[in-house]
Amino acid sequence: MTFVVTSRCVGTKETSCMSVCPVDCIHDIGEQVVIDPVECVDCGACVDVCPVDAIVHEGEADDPSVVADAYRRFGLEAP
Amino acid sequence: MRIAVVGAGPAGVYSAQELVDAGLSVDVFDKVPAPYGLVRYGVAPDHPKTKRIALALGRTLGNPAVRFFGNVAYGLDLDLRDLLACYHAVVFAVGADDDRLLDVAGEHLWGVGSAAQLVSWYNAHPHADDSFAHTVLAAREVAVVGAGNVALDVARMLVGGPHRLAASDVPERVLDLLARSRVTDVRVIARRGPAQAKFTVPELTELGKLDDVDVVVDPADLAGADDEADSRRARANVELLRGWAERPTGRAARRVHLSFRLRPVAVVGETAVAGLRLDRLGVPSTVPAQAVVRAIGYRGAPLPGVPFDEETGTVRNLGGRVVDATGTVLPRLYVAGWIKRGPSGVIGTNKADAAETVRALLADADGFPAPLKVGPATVPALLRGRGVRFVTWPGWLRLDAYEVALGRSGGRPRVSVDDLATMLAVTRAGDL
Repeated sequence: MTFVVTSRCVGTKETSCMSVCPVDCIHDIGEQVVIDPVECVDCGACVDVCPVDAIVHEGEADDPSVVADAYRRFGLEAP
Repeated sequence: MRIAVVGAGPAGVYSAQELVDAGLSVDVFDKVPAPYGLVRYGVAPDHPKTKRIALALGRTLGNPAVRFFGNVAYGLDLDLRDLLACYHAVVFAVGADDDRLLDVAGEHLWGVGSAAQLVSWYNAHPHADDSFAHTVLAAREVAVVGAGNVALDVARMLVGGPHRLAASDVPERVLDLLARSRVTDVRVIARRGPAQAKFTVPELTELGKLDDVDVVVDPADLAGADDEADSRRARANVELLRGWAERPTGRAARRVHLSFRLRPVAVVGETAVAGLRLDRLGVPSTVPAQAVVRAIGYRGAPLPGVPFDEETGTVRNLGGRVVDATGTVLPRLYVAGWIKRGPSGVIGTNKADAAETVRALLADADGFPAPLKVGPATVPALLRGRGVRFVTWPGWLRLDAYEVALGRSGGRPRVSVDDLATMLAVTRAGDL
């Protein structure tokens, strides 16, 4: 399980999530940041600091394609 | 240039990484043989994924520019004079080992203790004392005073059942004692309202997912909470609490009661705890309890030779530079993490905190005098001369492999070793 960054990040990309991530698994890919689902330790620190509520737990994403995309970006299939 | 970092938890390791990135050599000391501080000894064992932060911290400690010295206690095995003689500067990242007291009558009674005592017991800390865990698990009703994740961790461990830990790293004797738990009711008692609770949403959510456990919330406690909830987290917490308040209870074998706006006034009992007397805006009440657990926050402990602020429980500092009571900077001394800012924030908060400290250190570095005793062999020789059985990084890796092997025989990812003698024997402490 992992947290995923939704498109709400686009246009803000405030990046305090990157500074609180204890394992540095959040990467800036240009228009938004993304979470490496393999490295993520599920601590949720990023969710608490996101000013635009862009980060959700994969089990709570409204749109399953967001989760699929988050995994695919790292060459993985969503579980 | 060689820097000493005291404490191998997140703040110490993040500091070490910043120092290594700047091209310095770093020796990291810890008072126990194992690294990772609260990642190993604080994060609850039913959160194995969070414990994987240790893998990331281990990459720093395994860096060739970093040396690990476990089982070395600052103030006992090495003092400030030793460190200032052997290093250009010292970063203290020792965390907050003491806990805050309730400061009420009866706190000395048998059956009152700290969450920290339970946390270090179930996390297999080699200095842990099991007696409080025995007392708590023999109780039917336990009062936990606090409104943060530590209070929830304790509640979950006490009533969640040992089967939830079947894939965790806790020692067998912890599982055995949890299996014999007599606890049926845990009352989490918060001094402030539900909108001010410091629970994080995932931790509070988890409480509702325990088998055969009812979460009991008095609807009256939630009056006005929506208006007071001024953050996303507070709103989500109040919503969860409302869901429980509206749900019928009574079928489960065990209960966690969450109650708010209650001020502990006294622990009652003759020699052992019988209950906790509370006050809500002048209205007294008493809840039955055979054990009372304080979970109202950690507090830093003073470090010999370093100025300490009793008020805040931290080392006096300005942006990580240690200062005395008059605000004068004490050269070459720095702090990072909880001993610097107090026990707040999440693990990752220590990254920015450590970066600030190391920036200050690097800005001062031109003025550091050369230490009296230089050379990488000085400190190991000093420790050996004092009979200190220190643990090196290769030594820790042996213990790490041993714990994984122990786990494998029981079908678990690892089993933590909590016996100091075994830890030292496996690491072959004192070898280099």
